[in-house]
Formats: sequence, C-alpha cells, structure tokens
Amino acid sequence: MGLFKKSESESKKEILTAREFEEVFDLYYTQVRNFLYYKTSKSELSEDVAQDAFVKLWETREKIDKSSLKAYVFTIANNLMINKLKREQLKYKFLNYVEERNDNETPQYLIEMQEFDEKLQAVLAKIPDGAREVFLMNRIDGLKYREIAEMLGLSMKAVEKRMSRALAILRDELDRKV
Amino acid sequence: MSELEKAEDRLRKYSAPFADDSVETARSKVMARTIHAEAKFDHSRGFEYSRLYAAAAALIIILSLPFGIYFLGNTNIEAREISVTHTFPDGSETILAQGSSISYNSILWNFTRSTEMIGEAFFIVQSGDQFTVETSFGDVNVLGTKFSVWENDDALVVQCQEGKVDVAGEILLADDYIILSADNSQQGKWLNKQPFISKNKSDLSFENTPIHIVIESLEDKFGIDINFTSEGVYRFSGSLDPTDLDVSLDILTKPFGLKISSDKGVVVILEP
Repeated sequence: MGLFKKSESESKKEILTAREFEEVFDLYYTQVRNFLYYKTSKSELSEDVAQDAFVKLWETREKIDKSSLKAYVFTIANNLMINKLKREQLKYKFLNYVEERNDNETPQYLIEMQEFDEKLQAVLAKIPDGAREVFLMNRIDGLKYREIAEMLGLSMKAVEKRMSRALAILRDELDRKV
Repeated sequence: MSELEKAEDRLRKYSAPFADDSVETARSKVMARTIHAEAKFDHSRGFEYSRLYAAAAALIIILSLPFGIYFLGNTNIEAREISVTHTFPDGSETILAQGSSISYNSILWNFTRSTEMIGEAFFIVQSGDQFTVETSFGDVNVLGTKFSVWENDDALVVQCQEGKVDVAGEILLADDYIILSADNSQQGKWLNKQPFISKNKSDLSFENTPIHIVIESLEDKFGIDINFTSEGVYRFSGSLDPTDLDVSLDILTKPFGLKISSDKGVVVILEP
C-alpha cells in the first residue's frame, strides 16, 4: 500500500500510478457505489456512475493531489450522478442479507417485517438528498462520521447536522404512519 | 420497542442491493477502460511488454526522424531551360541561372537558413540569422544582403551587391567580388547590378567579367573542356563568336597574351 505510506508533501509531487489506482479502487469502489445508491435508489445507474467516476479519476490523475483522493472520487461520482440523474421517485430495495433466521419467527412476524420494511424504505426516500446519503452510509455501511466527512468533503459538524435531520424526519414519518 | 428503534434494527440488517461478484465485475470493467487501455502511462510497474513496445516505438521514431525530416523537407529546385525564381520559407529569394540548382531542407530552414548550390544564383536575403550558401569551394555566409554566387569545378565567384558577405573569411562589401580557385583568390571592385554574373549563354557578350566565367560559357556553348589555371587577375570585356570556337578563343586570349594548345581533346590555355 505504497500510496498511503507516503507523506502528504511527497505524494503531492507524484502522479497516481496504476498500482495505486487499483488500491484506491479496491478501497473505495463499494463505498462510492453504495453512496450513489443511497443518493438515487438506482442500483444499475449507481454501478455505472461509480465506474465512470473511477475512470475519470484515472484520466485526471495528473492534476489531482494524491492526499485527497478519497474526497476527489466521491466528488466526481456525485457530480456525474447529478448530471445524469433525472429526478424520480426513490424506491429502495435493500437486500436483507444479514437477516438472521430464527426458528421462532412466525409467518405473521415475517409478514409484519415485510410490511415494516416497505414503510421504512418509503420513509427513507423522503429524507432530503445529502442527509439521506450520510444517514445510510452510517447506518448500513457502518462508516464513522469522520470517515463520511472525509469522503464527502464535509465538516464533522455538517455530518452531525445531516444525521440529526435524517433521524428527525425518520422519527416523524414513522410515528405518523403507525 | 419504538418505531425508530425498530427502524434502526432493520437498517443494521440492510445492505445495498448488489450481487456478491459485482465489485469484481466492476473492477474488470474499470481496469479495462483505464490502466489496461493506457498501459504506457503506468509509472509504477516494473518491466512490462507494453513498455518494451513503447520504447521500441520511440526508438524507431527517433532513428527515423532524421530520414523523415530529410525526405519530407528535402527541397530541390533546378533551373533547366530558363532561370527560376524561388522563395525560401523565411521570405529570402533566389534567382537560379539556367542550368543551376539549389537543395535545402524546408522543415529545418528556419533553424539552418542553409542551402547547397550548383551553378549560379543571385540571392536576396531577409535579415535574420546567418544565411549560408554551400558550394564545393566552401560556404558563403551572409546576414541580410543581395549577392550572386557562381561556381564551377575550378572556381567560385561571389559578388556582393548590398550588405556584407563572408567568403572563406574574406568580407565583401557592396560591389566587392572575389574569385576563389584551387590555386589562388582574386578580389576587387566590380559594379554589377544584374542578378547574374555570367551572361546569357547564347549571347557570349561580357563586360569586365572574370575569365573563369567566360571560359565556362564557352565550354557550355561548344560542349568542350577548357583547362585553365591562372595566377593573375583576368577580367574580360567584349563579345565572342557563338558560331566559331577558334575565333572566340582568339578573342579571349590575345588581349592577355595567353597561349592556346590542345591535350587529348581538351583545350588548354596557358599563361605567358
């Protein structure tokens, strides 16, 4: 992981190499793609735009500062998505891979959970852009506020504010629908 | 459990809806569009064949560059039947006498301003860096000027009409001329406002013309070789007979006391 051992001043002078590019891809592709999904609810488009963002990163490698690669690739991805996206109703379909099977779960419980999931995902779609991505990056991908701030080029305070906003909307909407 | 807590619990079990192998698929696609497509820009990897190909291509380009410049920029101008006016890339001009030619590289012209010349040519040179006329007797160097260069196998004649001309270290100013031959050099003033030092070959009329040029005209006119090695300064004024070689040789040599003989078909002119 040569890229990340170098000092900031040293890395600024050098152009991103192919090997470093592969490292950056392996480290951030999933996060970038998920960020785009949280932003748009469009899985196929998110994959395409995430790939485009990395291609763009490679093409502009001579101009970028290697010390801010993470933020840079997220910014590229965000901008590309804004350019492509036509505003449509968000319809999330989160996979529930980590659902633990429990023998005690009754058919009625499973139906209730399915209904709750549908409601929850509809509520998530109502959280404004910006707050929604930050909230889902934290809750689903388990990223820390500091990491999210770094990726999206935000201050910690801005991330906290967006999280509070997302939680407030989530609470209000869920209570309203009960 | 509140609705919010329930939601938080569900969220912890969610994941973005992408297949397990989607990252590997995306990786292949991205690498194909980036580093594999542009392997030549890879600065970090060790030896790669793509580098070898790039190096080989660069070597071929470097080695073939002189040939490319030569073939693409090589310019040959020849005045066969009539005199020809030619303009160089920098705006300098030349008037080539009949039977004369120049050769230079147009691509490198602005760096070299150098042309080879055979025969006779009058040059009007734009000011700038040194302008060079390469002859078999050596280079004629000028800055900005008008001058005539004439050469054959035996002699080089340069006559400066304007400016300054450097011929083998000798500086010619306006109306100066120099004759360089294998044996000696002659210099002097020669008022000539015509582009060419030599006269029209069919005319054979000369005025104060170096004898080498007169002899060259006779050789051209009658298709013979004339051998003349001079140590003195001979300039001829008068008209020769274009229909009779012997008469012409007499007219040319008698005023100077030169002798004529023949050696294996070659006319030899000897000094007294």
